Amino acid sequence: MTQDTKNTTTIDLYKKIIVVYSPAGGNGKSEIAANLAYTLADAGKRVWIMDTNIYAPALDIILNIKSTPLSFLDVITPGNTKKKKLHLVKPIKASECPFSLYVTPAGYGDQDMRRDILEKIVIDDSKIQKIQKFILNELYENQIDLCIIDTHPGFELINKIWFAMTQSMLLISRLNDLDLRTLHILLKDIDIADIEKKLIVFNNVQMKDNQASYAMDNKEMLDKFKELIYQDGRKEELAGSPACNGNLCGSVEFYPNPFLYSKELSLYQQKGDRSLIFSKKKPDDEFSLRIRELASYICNNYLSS
Amino acid sequence: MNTNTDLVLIEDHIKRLQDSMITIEHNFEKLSKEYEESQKTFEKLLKECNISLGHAKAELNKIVDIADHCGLRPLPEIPIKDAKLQEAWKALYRYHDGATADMIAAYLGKHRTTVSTYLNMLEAENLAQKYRIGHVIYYKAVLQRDE
Repeated sequence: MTQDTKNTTTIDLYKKIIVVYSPAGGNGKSEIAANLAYTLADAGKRVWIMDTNIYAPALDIILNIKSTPLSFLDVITPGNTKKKKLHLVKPIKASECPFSLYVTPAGYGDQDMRRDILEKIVIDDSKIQKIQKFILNELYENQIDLCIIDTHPGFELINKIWFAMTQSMLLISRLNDLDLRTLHILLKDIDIADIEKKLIVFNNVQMKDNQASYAMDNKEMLDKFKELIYQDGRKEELAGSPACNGNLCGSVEFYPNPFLYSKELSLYQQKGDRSLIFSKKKPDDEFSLRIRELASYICNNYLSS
Repeated sequence: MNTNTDLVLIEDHIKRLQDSMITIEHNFEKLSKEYEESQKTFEKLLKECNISLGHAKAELNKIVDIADHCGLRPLPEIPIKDAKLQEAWKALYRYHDGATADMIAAYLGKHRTTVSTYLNMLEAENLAQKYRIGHVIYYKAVLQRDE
């Protein structure tokens, strides 16, 4: 891989990666990641989203993709992927800005095969390098502005590759005592602590039929959680910081507007009709508004210039 | 021509031939055993050599650690701002003969998958070289970057 005329190094390319992660499944991570990617592409950014959760692929469903030339499973299994290109999503209608959304779905395969592949990758330096080279090559060739990696929830070892490569993470969590405890443990993990910027986004996921999600009224719980983080020693990181009174907590930042999983979104998911991504289908829904705000926030604070 | 005498002679030679064959077979067995024994001795000595080499390397690393701690051998800086890559490179630099991802992971107290990713990033930036000995991949720190 050579440098281009603007002296883009491989480290510069890695800065374009943002990892979307959640300690537990069902937190709305993939829904947020996919809608975020679509919204950013709609705003003229060149976006690439890759689903690395080969146990529970979601991206192809959310984005209504039937088949692609290349999946993540193709990348991690032996074989040549050089001639295969990333899938480019067509925009729903012509927009003022050019629309570039590249997608690599997880791919489907036999469960035993998937387990076998993942167990072998994490101990094989050449396989890890193959994944890294693939990502760097696609970032460079397609002139990607932002690569969103949608991960396995929980503590799968393959996630360590993403944590090592990235400098930015979007942590999706529910705002309840169990998830906050898991989140607290997670933030102490050495590989996650090493990530420069971590943005915690709280998402209230309630999927009861015919009932709206509960309003986000858990300020007391959130304050208690922040206190826990401060007690972990982050306080000295805040000393002298102009953001002492705000949401910044060392390298951990709390996104100020929690997500609300609306009744519309819950019903949308239950109906199984994904012909249009939700943020486009219901642009005035609370969730869609939050997505657009988050997209703007990421553009201003996380995208390297 | 005395046929009986000839037959006796032939029998005698056949017996001697059989004795020689038996001797050859016994000697061949002895030779095989000697070979196996020497192979075992060879492998034992090779193993002992590797263990001693490991001890010697460990002692060298201890000396380097003490030297680093005392500031006797300042580690060079590399042109990368990323703290975790700097840390990985400095750990690799300690191993002048090269190191595996597992060795660096043990030194840093991190998972080998994480360290392998860092080392590949360093290699892509020409700050580390990668080479293989058998099935094992080694990395070596590079001090000067090729511009």
